[in-house]
Amino acid sequence: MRIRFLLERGSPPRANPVIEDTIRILSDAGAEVDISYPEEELIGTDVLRVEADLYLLKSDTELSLSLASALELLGARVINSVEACSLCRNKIVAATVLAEAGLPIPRSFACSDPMQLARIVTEMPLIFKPYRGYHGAGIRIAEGEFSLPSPGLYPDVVFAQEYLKKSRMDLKVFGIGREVFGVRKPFSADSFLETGVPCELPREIEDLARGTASAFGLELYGLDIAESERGAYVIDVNYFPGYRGVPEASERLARFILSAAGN
Amino acid sequence: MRAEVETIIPEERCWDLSQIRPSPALYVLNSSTPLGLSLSETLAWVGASTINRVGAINLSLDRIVASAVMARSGIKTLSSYTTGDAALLGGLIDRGNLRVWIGRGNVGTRVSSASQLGGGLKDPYGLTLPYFATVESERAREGIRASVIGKRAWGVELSFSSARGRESGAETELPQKLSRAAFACGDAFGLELYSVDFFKEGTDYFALDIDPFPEYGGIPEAPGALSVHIFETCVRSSCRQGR
Repeated sequence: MRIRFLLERGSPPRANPVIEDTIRILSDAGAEVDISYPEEELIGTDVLRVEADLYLLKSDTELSLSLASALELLGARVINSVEACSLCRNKIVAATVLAEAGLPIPRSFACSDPMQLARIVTEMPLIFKPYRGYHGAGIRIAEGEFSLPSPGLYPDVVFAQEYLKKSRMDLKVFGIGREVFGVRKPFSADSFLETGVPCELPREIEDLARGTASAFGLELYGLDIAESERGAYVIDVNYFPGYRGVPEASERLARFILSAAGN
Repeated sequence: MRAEVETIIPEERCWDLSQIRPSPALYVLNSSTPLGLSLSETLAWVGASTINRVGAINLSLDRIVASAVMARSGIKTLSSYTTGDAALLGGLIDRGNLRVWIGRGNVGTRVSSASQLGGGLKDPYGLTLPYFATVESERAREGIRASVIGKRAWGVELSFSSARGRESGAETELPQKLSRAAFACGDAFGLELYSVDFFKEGTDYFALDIDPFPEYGGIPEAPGALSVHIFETCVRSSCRQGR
């Protein structure tokens, strides 16, 4: 059985011990595992062919997503599916997917100029996010018309959500197939690199996580949750997260991958 | 039966994403802006019928995906490559006319020396943007554009020159092998309205690229055929939606 990981080096380059361990366990179990950093290879696109039984997309780069799309069109099995990853990557679409599934999300808006939200921001504080951003980069908060970001900050599309300023924001939920895990870690620009503290999840949050996975078609995923006095809200959805802080994450991931690959 | 037609410029207003619901029986997507494409995807998600489907457009606009699909359409294609490392493209420069795109940029640049490739570009979060490169033919002077509306295809003359780039001309006969290749590309993506450009070298044709926003210039029948296709799709969509 051949399994190929599509990975990114990250910026700055970093290794994820959970993924390294997962690869070791898969190899020990007899799988032929190889690792591809597409940015570091010269790939002939007109001669591209499916060479692995299963591809694991653990990269946010445009090249990896494009490559996975092409491979899927050629018949490859990719986890997560490219459609699921694309839905997550575009926050405008992700907000709609969540809302349509009846899952709790802050009110969300899309426009071309922050000034188009001048009336809305008088009714509620807004958090602005790059519509295809991740890891908390490029976020701005506006609590009135005069603190709206300049148009140059979001040149393509403006995406904004109601800012739940009194909420607790340190809950991350990780999913591996049907299994769901909670980890608490304070939000920061590099909190995705920190391990955090495992925590019990109430049934309501577990259901919310499984509902999100089902709506997007995700198998390996992570959620950022805001816990407000009005209840829990999904504020971000990620495909194939780092699983730092999840107990026995590597073993669980390896089991899931082997099962998905048909072993 | 008459159609009520309205136009939407997505950039002209603010969209409350929890309130988006399809109103017309059919949306015709003719915007390639990030907001236009995102909005179309949200509309499709909440049940709107659109032509073309936005997923098909996104895939066909991706040169890496399009290259892999065209290579399986039954006609020759240019040798094409992708990487995030400019140095890896250096070895291709000796093979002829290298045209390079960075990210999803629309305009490729002719590259004749490694210094023109620069050090690569990063996205706003520090991740490397992909290069896409094709080794172009120096001898290509003419070709054909296959323009498709549903199950019908027309040919339009193409000319290539270094001064004026690619120009389309008058309607011309579309060879069957090009028609088959164009439909194979469209079917692979699920496109209904599109064009595929081919250039001719000797007696061989090569597939060049796919355009999911075709203009249908040079085809006198196109406006009528387009109206009929859109109208029929709209009627089918209305029936499905029970309108």
